[in-house]
Amino acid sequence: MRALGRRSGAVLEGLADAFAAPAEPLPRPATTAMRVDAQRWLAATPVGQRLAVRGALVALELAGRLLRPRVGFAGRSRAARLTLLDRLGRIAPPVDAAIDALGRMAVLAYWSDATVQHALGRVDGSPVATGTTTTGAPR
Amino acid sequence: MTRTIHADVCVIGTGPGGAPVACRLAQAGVDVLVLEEGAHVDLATAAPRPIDAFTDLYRDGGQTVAIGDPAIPIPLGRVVGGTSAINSGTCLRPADAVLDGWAEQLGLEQLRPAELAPYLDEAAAALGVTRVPPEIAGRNAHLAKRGADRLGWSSEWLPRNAVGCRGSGRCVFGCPTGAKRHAGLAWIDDALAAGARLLDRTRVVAIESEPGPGPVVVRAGGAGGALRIVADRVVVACGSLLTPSLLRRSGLAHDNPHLGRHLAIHPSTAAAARFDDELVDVAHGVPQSFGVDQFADRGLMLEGIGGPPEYLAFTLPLRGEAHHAAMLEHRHWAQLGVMVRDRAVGRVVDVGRGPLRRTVVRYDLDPADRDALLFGIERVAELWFAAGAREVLLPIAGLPPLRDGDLRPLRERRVPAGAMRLMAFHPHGSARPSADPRDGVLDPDLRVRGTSGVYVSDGSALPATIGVNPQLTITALALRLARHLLDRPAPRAGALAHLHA
Repeated sequence: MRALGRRSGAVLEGLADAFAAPAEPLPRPATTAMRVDAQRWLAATPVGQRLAVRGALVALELAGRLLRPRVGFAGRSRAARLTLLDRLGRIAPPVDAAIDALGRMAVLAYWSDATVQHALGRVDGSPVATGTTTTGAPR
Repeated sequence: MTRTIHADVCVIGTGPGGAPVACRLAQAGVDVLVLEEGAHVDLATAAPRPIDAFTDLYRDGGQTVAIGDPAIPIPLGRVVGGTSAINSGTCLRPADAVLDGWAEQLGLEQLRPAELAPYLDEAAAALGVTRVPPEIAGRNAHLAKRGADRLGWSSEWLPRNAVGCRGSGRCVFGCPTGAKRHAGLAWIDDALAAGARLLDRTRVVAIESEPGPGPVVVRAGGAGGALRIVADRVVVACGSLLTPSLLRRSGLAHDNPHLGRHLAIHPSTAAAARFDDELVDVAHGVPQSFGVDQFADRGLMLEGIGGPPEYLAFTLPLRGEAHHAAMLEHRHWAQLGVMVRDRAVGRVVDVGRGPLRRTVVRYDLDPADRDALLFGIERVAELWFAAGAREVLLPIAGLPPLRDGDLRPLRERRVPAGAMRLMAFHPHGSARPSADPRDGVLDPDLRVRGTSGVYVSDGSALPATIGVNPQLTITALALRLARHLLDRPAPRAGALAHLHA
């Protein structure tokens, strides 16, 4: 079974959109490779955890359909998604912590995308910092 | 078909506990077989991005979590080198008071400061431990130092196991230059050169050991199929979260009430700070190059953290437009972590049966540790404001950003444990040794009680919570175990001083 289905993948992209709020020049999450990266990342987790993440993403989608304006999480506007997340987070601290964890996962997958990094001005791509002018003591 | 392999000693795990034992035994001519669940890879190219590192170098995709209030992620390595391949490299010595405490509480006179010192010296020399040169420490660290200096707090450039480091800023995702001497580099390569054999991507199923003298059998599986390893001695070095489970499912010490208990993890968190007029760039420089030990008597250490922009995005406690705005100014954000020497209230348990059996970590933050962490978080905020930060973000759900040095929003808030966003990097103590068999799982020589040839050498063999990054101490205990297995006398204190003078 794939770590992310069509629906859970769209919810993850929606989470990245809500948490990272990309705007020009940053690309929309759905146009990046974040779903592929997240898919691969989740595949490395134990099956129980994988199912829990996928279940939580689907539950988020369903919660959107149950609560006004009765639109699934992925189909909502960014503002409506954030409102829903805040509302769900107020249920209990562990729910808020779980939302936070999912959001961070989505944010990492989004910011790992090469086009996002490029838009940020990070064109090198090399993990080795060489010749940097910012390594030493502050002025 | 099951393949049978014979060896004098089988070492399970290649982290700071297993690798030194394998190396020293192999160098002494012992026939050593090393098993590692992760892969033997070149870290310089294995994971170009943090998300690749989580996927390929970390256990469970980096999502190992202690269940409790609050849930606490405990990232672990699964690669040759173990967690030392993806840690920050900090190599602090344990305080004398901690070692004396182990001796007094558990009768471990062998671990008194004077007894352990030669092994700590040997470990530091082999790992190339030196203090981070300020010129590669990174501006994040220099700003933190500025704050500490202005407050008059005791601080230091941290000692690390790196040689020729260029400050690439991504220790926890696999050092891209090979400067960090993780256990795979420092020990396994030498072990292989000395004749040891390594089977990577191999998972141990169980250990079969009779109470009396005789060979120990390790059942394992890997890419090459089922394995049966017959050895005179077995050294279990799977880490503090996995060793108890392996012993338990092997029927070793499974009825010992201390197995899997007394788990300490050093709960940790971090605060981010924005500097309007200065570039920080946490992606450059040694992420954990600087520490504040002013509050060590309260069990608190403040240590630097950092990483590439996507790592900052991952850690910032912001959502929506605020997150976007922060990331557009990502080079202006600084980060500093705080960890507490905890009260070791966690435990490692196994649930389910057969193929559904899972190891579960239970850990509820002790109220006193919560208070200590809150004190530490407030000190980090104080430090950042003293350094000149305009805004500080704390890891507490619902707490607004602190601005212009005003700490009142934090002080006036009641913070339950569940509202804190924590992580932990140092699980230890879950199979502790003791002089009295009623107090621990292992004897003082780290032999599993009730066996004649099974030993433990990893974080689980630390007697109690240590209060500093445990890598160096685990390595020292491993060297001590190697010497015991070789039946050699302990080294003289200071005998290796010339190596790191």
